[in-house]
Amino acid sequence: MSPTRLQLFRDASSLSVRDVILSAGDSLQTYREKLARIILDEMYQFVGLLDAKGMTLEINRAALEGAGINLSDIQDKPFWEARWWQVSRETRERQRELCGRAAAGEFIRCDMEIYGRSGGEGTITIDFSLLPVRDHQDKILFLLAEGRNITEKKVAEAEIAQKNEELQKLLEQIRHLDELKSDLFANISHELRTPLALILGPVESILASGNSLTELQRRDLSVIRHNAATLLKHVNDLLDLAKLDAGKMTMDYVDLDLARLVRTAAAHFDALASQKSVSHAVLAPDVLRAEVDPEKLERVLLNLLSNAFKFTPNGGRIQCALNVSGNRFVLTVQDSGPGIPPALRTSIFERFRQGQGGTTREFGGTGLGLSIAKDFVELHGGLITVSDAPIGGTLAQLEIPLRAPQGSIVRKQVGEPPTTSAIAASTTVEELRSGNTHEIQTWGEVGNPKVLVVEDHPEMRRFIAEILSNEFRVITAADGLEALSMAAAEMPDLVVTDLMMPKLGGDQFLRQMRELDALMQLPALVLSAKADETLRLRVLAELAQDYLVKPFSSAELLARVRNLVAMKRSRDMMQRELASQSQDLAFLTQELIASKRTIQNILQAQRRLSALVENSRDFISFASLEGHVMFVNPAGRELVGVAEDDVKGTVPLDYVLEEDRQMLSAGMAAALAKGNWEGEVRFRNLKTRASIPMFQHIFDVKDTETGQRIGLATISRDITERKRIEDGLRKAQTELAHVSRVASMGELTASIAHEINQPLVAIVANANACARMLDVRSPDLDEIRLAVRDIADDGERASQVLSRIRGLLKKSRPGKSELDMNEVITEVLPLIRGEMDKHRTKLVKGLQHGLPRVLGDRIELQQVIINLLLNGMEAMDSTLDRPRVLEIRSQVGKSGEVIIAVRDSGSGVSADQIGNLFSPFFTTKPGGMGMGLPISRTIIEAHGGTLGATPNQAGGATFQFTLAPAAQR
Amino acid sequence: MRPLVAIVDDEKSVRRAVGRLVKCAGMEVECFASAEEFLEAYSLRAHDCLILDIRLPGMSGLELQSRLVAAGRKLPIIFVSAHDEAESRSQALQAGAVAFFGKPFKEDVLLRAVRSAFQFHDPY
Repeated sequence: MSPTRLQLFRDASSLSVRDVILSAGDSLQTYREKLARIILDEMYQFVGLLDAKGMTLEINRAALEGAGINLSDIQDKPFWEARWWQVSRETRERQRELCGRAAAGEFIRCDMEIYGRSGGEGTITIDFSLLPVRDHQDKILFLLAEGRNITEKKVAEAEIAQKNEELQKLLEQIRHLDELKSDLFANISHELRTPLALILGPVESILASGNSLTELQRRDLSVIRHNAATLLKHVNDLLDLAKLDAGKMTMDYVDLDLARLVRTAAAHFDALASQKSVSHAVLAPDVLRAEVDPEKLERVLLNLLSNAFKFTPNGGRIQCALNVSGNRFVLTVQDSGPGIPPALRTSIFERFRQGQGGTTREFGGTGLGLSIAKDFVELHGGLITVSDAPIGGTLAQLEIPLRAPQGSIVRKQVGEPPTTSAIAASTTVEELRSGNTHEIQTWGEVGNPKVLVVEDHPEMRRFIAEILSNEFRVITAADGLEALSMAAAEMPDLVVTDLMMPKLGGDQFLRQMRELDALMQLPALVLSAKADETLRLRVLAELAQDYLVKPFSSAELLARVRNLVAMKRSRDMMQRELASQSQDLAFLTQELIASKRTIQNILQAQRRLSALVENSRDFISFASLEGHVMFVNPAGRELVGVAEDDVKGTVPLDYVLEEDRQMLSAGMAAALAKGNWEGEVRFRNLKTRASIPMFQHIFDVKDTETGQRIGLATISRDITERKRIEDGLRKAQTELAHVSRVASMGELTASIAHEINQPLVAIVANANACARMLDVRSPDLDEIRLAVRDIADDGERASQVLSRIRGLLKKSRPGKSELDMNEVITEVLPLIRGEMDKHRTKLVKGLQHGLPRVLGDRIELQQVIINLLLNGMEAMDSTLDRPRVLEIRSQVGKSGEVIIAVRDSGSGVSADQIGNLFSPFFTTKPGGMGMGLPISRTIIEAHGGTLGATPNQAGGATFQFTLAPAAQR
Repeated sequence: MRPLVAIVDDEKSVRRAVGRLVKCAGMEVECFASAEEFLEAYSLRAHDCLILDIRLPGMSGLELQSRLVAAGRKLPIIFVSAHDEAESRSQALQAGAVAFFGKPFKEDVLLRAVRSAFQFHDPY
C-alpha cells in the first residue's frame, strides 16, 4: 500500500464521502475507482457518461443536484429526456440530434441553455461538449458529456455587446453633429465671403482711381482693405476646413515649374525681410517640373514662411530649400527662431491650436493655418514634419510625390498663378509688418486729462487714440505688461483696455493694477470683441467700471470715456479736500491743547506773560470775574481792532457780532459751571466792522494756591480759512450730488421718455378725435368737451413729469420745506417704471397713511430714493432663482420718526461689506460711479437722519433711512 | 352692424383717447386694461380687430397674441408700443400681426390699418 494511502487510514479502517465508502481493505483497483467517483461527484461542472446510443450511464452529483434529479430515474434512459434538456422542445430535439452525431464519431461542442439550478427550476447557460470514446478497435463505446457553467460570462458578454452598440450609436451621432458643424461652417463662410468681396472690390477701385484722396482718407481706406482682406483670409480658412471635414476638397493638379512657384511665394516676403534685417535665402534648382495643386501648395508655403517670419527675431535667418529625392520632392523652410519644443510638435497641427490659452496670446490668427497645411499636404499624398533646424530654430519639411496619382486629371499651366493667393500673401505680410512696428506713441495735448489705451491691434489702437485725441491726452500700450508699467509711470485718469492681448491679457492686467495702492481706484473701460454676457458681468463686477463690445460707435466710446474721466476728476477733488480738511482740524486741536496748558502756567505766575502769548497768532484774552476784559494779546488786539489802552474798558461781548452775543453769554456761563466751553462764534473788528468766524475755547482760571476762581480766559482761532474750505466742500458736494443726479437721469432716459410719450400719445389721439368729431354736421359737444378735458389732464401730467425732471437736473441750492414722504416717493416712481421693466423687477409699495411731515429738500430726498431703488434693482440682476421683488415701505418709528425702507431680494451684503458701501468717494464697485450710496448718506445726514443697510434673513438687503418729523426739529 | 374694435392698453388715458379716435371713425369700441380682462370678454363676444400694447401688467401683448394663435382664433391684431424694439416687432409680425406702430403713431395710418384688418378678418 502506498504511504499516502496508509496515512489516510491511520485513524479509521473506513472513510465515507457522501455515497462513497473507502475502506482500508479495498483492492488498488477498487480504491482508484472510488477516488475517481469522488472526483466526478465533487466536480463543479457537468460530467456524464452515455452509451453509444445516448442512454445515460453515469452523471456526476453536481449536475444531478442542479436539476433535482436522482440518478436511478434517468439511468439507462435517453439522455435527452432528462430534466436538463426540457427547457424547450427545441433543446430536447437538439440534444437528441447531438447524441446522434456524437455516436457517429463527431466531437460536439456548443453553448446550451438548460435547467441547472434551483433544483431544476432555473436555467443556466453551459459550454457543452460530447466526446465519442472508442475502444482499441476504434469502435465507439461511450459518449462523454461535459458542461461548464458560463452563465455569468454570457451576461457579461451581452452587456459588452450592448455597450458596444451604444458606443456605435453615439459615434454615429457625433459624426452627424460633426457633419452639421461642417455644413454650418461652410454656409456661414459662404455668406461672409460675398459681403467681404463687396467691401474689398469698391475699396480697391477707390484706392486705385482716387488721386483726389487726402492722405487721411487713403490711410483709412487702406486700413479697411487690409482688415477686410484679413477677414477674408480667415473666412477662407474656415471654408477650407469645412470642405476638408466633409471630404469635399478636390485636387486641381497642374503640371508646372515648382521652382518658380517657390521663388514667387518667397519673394512676397522680401520687403519684410529687409525691414526686419532677416537674411532670407531660397535654394532651388532652376527648373523643377511637378504635378501639384498650385493654390494649395502655395497656401502651405505661405503659411510656413509667415510662421518663420513671425518667430524669427530681427537680424535672424530664414532659408527655404527645394530638392528632389527619388520620385518625391522635398521642400524645407527653416528659421533661427526659438524653435518648437518636441512635446508640441504634433499638437501644433491640431485645429484652433495656439501656443497659449486664456486671454494672453502672442500672435493673431485663428490657429487653423498649420492644420490646413497638413491636410493639404496629405491630399497630395505627402508628409509634413517639424524638427530642429541646423540653423537653430524650426525646420518644417514637406515630402510630396512629383507626379499626381494615376488617373488624376492634370492641367498644363496657363498664365500667372491665381490672384487670390497674391492677396493672401500680401495680407499675411502686411499683418506681420504692422505687428512689427509698434512704438509708444502719444496723441492729444499735454494739459488734457490722460487716457491710457491698451490694445494689441495696431490699427485699432490708432483708431481709438484718434477718437479720443481731441479731448484727451492719449498714451498707448500694446500689451498688458507694457500697460502696467505705463499706468504706474504716467498715472492716467482712465484706462481703456482690450481683453485678448499678448504677454498679459486685459483682465490680468487690471487685476494686477488693482493690487497697486496708487492705481487701485483708477477707473477702467474694457473694450472687447468678446460679447459673452457672463464674461462681461464678471469683468464689470470685479475689474472695470464700463464694458463696450467691439464693434462700437466712436461717439459712444467718447461719451463713456468723458463720463468716467469726469467722475474720476471730481472724486479726486473731493478726496483732496477731505484730506486737507481733516489735517487742518487735527492741527488745530493739538494747538489748542498745547496753548491752553501754556496759558495756565503763565497765569499761575500772575506776573509775566510769556513770549508765546505775546507772539501767538491766536486771540488770547483774560477777563475778571466781574466781566471786565483785563488783557488781550497783540494778535488778538489786531484782529478785533482795539488799542492796548482801550482794552480795559471793554467786556467780552464787545468783541462778537450782536447775533452771537447770546451764544457767547451762554458759553461763558457754561465755562463757569463746568470749567470750560468750546464753540464757533463770530468776532467783529471794531474798526472795520468785518465779521470773523472764530473757534473759541473758554476756560476758568483758578489760583493754584487757594483754588479760588480768579477769572475766565479764552483762546480763539480765526477759522475764516477753514470756513472757506467747508463752504467749498459743501458746494462741491452739491455739485457732485448734481452730477450724480444727472448721471442717474441719463440712465433713466428711456423710462422718462416713455413717461412723457404716453400722455403725448393720448393728447394727439384725442386732438385728432376732436377734429374728426367737429367735422360732423351736428357735433357731439359733450364728448368733445370730455376729450378736451382729457387733453388738459394729459398735458398737465406731462408737464408735471417734465418739471420733476427739471427739478432733478437743475443745479439748485438746497432748500428745505415741510414734505409728505409718501408724496415724495410717489412722484419719483414713474421715473423708474421703465427701468423696472428692463430689470424685470416687480415693485411692491407699502406706504403708511398719515405720516408726519418732515423738513427736507424734496429734490435731494428724491435723489436718495431713486438711488436706493436703482441700487436694489442692480443688486437683483444676478437673481435668477426667485422673483425679483423690490419693496418700498414708509412707516412711523417708535419715537415718531419717519422710516423709509427699500428691500431687495438680490445677492445681499455681508456685515463687513456694509461699511464699504457708504465710504465716501471710494469704490471698487462697477456700474456707474459708486457714488450713489455715499451721496445718499451725505444727504440724509445733512437732514439730521441716518441711512444704513442690513442683510435680510431670506436673502437680499434692506436699505433704510430715518428722518425726524418737522415738529420735533 | 358696426365692427367692434378691442383696445388693450394699461395706460388709461391712452386707452380712452385711442378708443375715442376709433369710435369717431365709425366703429364700436371696447377698452381693456390688461390681456386677462380682454380674454375674459373675448370668450363672450367676438371682436373684429384688436389694438394691443406690447408691455402690459401680467400677460404681455405678445403672449396674448400667441395664445390667440394657438387657440386658432384669427383675430387681426395691430400692435402699438411705446418701446419700438426690433425684436418684438419682428416677433409680432411673424406671428401674423396686421401692423406694428411705435408711439406716437399717425392717426390716419392707424385707422387705415384697422379698416384693412376687417377685410381680412373672417372669425370662423
